[in-house]
Amino acid sequence: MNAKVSTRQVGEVTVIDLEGRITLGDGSNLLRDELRHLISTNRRKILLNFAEVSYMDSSGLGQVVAGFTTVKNQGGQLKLLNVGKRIKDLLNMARIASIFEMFDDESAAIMTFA
Amino acid sequence: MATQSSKGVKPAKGRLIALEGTGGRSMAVAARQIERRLRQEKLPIASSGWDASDLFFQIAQGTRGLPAPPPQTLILLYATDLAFRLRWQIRPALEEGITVIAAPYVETVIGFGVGAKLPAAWLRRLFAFAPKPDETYRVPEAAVPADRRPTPSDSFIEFCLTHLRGGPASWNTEEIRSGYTGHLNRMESRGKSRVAVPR
Amino acid sequence: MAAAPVRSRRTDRQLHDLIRAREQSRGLLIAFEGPDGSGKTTQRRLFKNWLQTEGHQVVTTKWNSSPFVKPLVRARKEARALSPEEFCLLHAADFHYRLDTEILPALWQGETVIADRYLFTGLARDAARGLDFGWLLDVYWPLFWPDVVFYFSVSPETSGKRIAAERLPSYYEAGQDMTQMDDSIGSYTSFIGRVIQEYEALAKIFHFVTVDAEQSIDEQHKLIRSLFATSRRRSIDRFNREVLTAWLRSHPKA
Repeated sequence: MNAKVSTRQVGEVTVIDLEGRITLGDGSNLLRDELRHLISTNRRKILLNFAEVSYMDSSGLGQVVAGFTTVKNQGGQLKLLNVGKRIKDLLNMARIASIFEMFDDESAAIMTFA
Repeated sequence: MATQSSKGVKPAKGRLIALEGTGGRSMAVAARQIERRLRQEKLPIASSGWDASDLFFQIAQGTRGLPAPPPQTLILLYATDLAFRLRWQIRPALEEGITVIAAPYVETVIGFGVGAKLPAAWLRRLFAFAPKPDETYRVPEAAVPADRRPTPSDSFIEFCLTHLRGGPASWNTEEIRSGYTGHLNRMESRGKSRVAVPR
Repeated sequence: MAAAPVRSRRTDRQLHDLIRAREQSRGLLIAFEGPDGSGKTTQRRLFKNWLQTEGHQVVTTKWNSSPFVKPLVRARKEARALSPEEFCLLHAADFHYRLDTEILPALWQGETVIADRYLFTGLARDAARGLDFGWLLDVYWPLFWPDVVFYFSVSPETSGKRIAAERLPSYYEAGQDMTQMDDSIGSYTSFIGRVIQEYEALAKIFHFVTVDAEQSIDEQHKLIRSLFATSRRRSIDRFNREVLTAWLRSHPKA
């Protein structure tokens, strides 16, 4: 399934709904472009929703890492929602799972944004 | 970081194709043309572009009013971004048997350094951490239509020249551009790269 | 966009003469090197105060401090997203930026520059991370040599104790990216041994002035003052002409 990226606003938090395969090329580029667009339009509280992601490779993970540094660089927050086991395994293999706040419930996640 | 192949058999390594040039939409169009051609050969293929690490995007977001960085700093930042691309994108994909178009790769930044009067031998040693590409293509500047000219947000060369132009130091950016173009021209005339014209 | 106007260029001969004429009046570059917990920063402050009482105009430049690169490093350290190569290249980018925009301008104006950590910190830490030393020298090329390097020698145990007494070392400071240990103090104790080994080798290769950092603060400070008084400035012509010439070419107003 081709990657899709859409956003919605929940109060001050922008939720990015990722869908499909986030891999090298279109998938990771879509994510990158969306994060850059949000930063350029002063959105600083971002929640990445992985509920509909069917597959992510290391380039997708690299894009999440790059996005995290971009948001942090601007004093913002980037958190993860509905991260499945496979992606959690990737995060653990890369030894970066502990830097991300991860949630299974959207409302609970939204409330944690300062 | 590579995912497992479905049959448990390690795939043959993919090919690394370097696509050099000033960047921008023309480079992206040329990359897609190469991708389409290779897909006809049933090869899995993907592209890795400049600033995957967001380093330059972050610089553009937050360094207004600061003294412009010298070429050395810009080259080291390019190297950092390339190290990121190799680690997260290029090497894992090659290990999975995917052919990767790296656009741009090493000759673009070497050309920039040569244009800034830095020694080519030193630049090659600096970038020795990047694996040699199997093929190199180049998008010639003359082939880029006016409405697709690269900008500082999609081109390493334009990013650098814009910063150098705006700084207090005296950099002849046209001389740098000419030196960069000369480097890629020499590569082409020696048969080390082929032309990719974006249509 | 129109090209920048071409400013009149000094010839090689003119640059050569300019550098020679400035040899005695240019500022001194003094580097303070050593592992964390060596007391280097305390000594640097004491030394700066003393130099100022002696009439020097002194500026300090610190490792990983440029406003251009530091935010990029900070965000990536927070993400624990740096490979050894990226860690090295970013710190070198910061170093070259400071050399071009802070250190060389100050030296040229006759100010004494104290570097709290210099490129040797990069070499030591990156070599401890397993990077090839020859490649590291290329990353920091062209090397701009300080007039004096004070190296604060301390054992890994002393360094570890002093750091642990103050705070928990950060992830990269503790070398946790290399040791893969969760315990930051344990990781630091293991990693700093490797870093110190590299520093000790550099001290021999590059003839640092070694200060026994296990001595009292006062003894170290007196020693540094006397060592400084007997040290000689490095000839720019012999050691740093290439770097200075390239910098002056791109800064014609200097």
